[in-house]
Amino acid sequence: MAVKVVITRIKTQMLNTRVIFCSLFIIVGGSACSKAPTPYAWNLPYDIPAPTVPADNPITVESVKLGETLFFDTALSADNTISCSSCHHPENAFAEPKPVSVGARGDKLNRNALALVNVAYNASFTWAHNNLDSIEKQLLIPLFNEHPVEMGVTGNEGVILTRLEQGDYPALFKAAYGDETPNVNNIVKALASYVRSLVSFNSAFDAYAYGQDDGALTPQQLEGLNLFFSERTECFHCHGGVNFTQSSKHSFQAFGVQPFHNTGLYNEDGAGSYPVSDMGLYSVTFNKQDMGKFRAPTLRNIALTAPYMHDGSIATLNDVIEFYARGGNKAETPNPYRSPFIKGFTLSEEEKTALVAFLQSLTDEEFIEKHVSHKN
Amino acid sequence: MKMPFRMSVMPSLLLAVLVSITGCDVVNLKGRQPGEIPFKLVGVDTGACPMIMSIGQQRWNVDYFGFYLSKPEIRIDGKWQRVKFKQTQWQTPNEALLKFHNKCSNPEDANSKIVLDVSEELLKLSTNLRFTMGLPFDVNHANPLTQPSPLNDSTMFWSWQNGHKFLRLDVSKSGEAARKWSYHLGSVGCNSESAVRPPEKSCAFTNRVEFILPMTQLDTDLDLEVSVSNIVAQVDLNEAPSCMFESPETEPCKKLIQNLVHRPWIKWQ
Repeated sequence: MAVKVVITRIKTQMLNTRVIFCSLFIIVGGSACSKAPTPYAWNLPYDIPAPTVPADNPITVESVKLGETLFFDTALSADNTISCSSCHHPENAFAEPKPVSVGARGDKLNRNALALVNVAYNASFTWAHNNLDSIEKQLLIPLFNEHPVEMGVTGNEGVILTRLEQGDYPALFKAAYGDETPNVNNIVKALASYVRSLVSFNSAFDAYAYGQDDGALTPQQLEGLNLFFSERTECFHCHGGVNFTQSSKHSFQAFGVQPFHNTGLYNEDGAGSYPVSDMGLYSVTFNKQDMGKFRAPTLRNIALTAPYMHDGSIATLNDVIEFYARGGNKAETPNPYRSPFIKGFTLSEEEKTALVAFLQSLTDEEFIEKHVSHKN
Repeated sequence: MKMPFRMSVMPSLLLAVLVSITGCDVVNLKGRQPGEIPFKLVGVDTGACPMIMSIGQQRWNVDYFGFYLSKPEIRIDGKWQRVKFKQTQWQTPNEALLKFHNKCSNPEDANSKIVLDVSEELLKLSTNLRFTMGLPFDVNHANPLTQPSPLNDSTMFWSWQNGHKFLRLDVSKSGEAARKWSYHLGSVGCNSESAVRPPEKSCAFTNRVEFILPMTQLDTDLDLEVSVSNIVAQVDLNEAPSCMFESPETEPCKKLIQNLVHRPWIKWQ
């Protein structure tokens, strides 16, 4: 009898324990589990296909929001002085109006800050790299690079993560990734989501080309368009496709075109060499054929992204056209690496003006206004 | 002529004695665990903070010195056997990070030993120890942010090469902090990972260095010594540019990799 009572008590206790566990589970499930992030709607005009998104970083409204907040926050740099937006200004289509950027500790970078426009469609990243296949991988460069220091995160992860435990961040991290504690991988994922969301297809050119609006371009811009897509100027060979760059996933895969080109900007030794400080794709592959090769950037919003070329060495669009018209620098000197499409052309002054007018028609005012207003 | 020599040696000796007493390196005082192999720097004053490397008459501060080892193997009865590192914050089963520069200022941020997950008896049967300086291709190129320690140590990230540095040496001239020189080594010229290409063919310059060291029964009590001066032999740090692999075919990168391959910079003490 006594034994039976003991067993019954144990059973009762076990039952109570189960009840407590179950209640706890319900409470935890009801209060702590945030709602699933909302899939991001691209809302692309003109049936433009959505870009590919890595399976391990699905883009959501919440990850874009967190990424945007991080993008404009100096807390992400070691000494709390610069943010991503210090070098990527929304009003300049996320480029920077100076030849080369300067990092958190005053280090001068080698290259001009690229516009962040339709990066989601890129087949490759940075000015010249064949081994970065995602924005997530590219982001490690500005965050962790030490020579030169850009954001200066290396070795300062602790202080940066502590800053991101304040203010709105716990809620933003929680909403995006289900955990309010920040970590560097989620920071990178969120920044990649935000940068991926920067799509621009609402220029006057788009209204004309994809929207069938005959009045969207002026006669002068139309003349420039026809010059751009002509064999006279050869512009479209490298800046072709819906994103005005060969280096986009669709065109890259469809035609297998090598998206890196030597434009003849430099020829240091009369044999095609670029300055040792930046030899383009060669500096990554160490294949001589890649000397001075750089990725053709998108021309969307190009009127806002001066100065031009990888080192910001050409100040205006007029000067860029003059550069290509003369067949690159030192065109008369042999250069085995220069693209065969860089062969020079002759345009009248009116035609050059028309070409610039066409390039200006690639500006997407709605895109710029939207992101400048977010910044403010 | 002899006096200045003695004068310069005596303070170093005193310092060395002082360091051993104050316990900057306590590993040996506590005894050695099975499979543990300490690495000792030679030609570097590890008692000074920062550590000081002497090259001829010049003194250079060692601001950073670290490298990855991987694929440990021992040879018993003529056959190579894969062994594992004991898993710690400094070791995964297949990779270990040696990091020396913090040894005095932040001892907890330094690691000057590897610990093999093997018994002392097995080590005594071994006739050779083999390991690779560097990381395997797949580990090198995986997302470093989500990898276990020590592969997530951002000071060894080499993001512009989409991988890790295998070896990092940053020095600055003593008394002239602005005069810096760096050697960063890792695989370069790597293509994207591809299912149709074997990993070892994926980088133009893999830049891994394999070590095969003889072992005798006595070696279970020995240390490995690391000679930084052998790494930088015949490279004038005053004149030569840094080598952070802008080009592997130009000096001093060419000379430095030759040193790593041909000079015994890791050997039994």
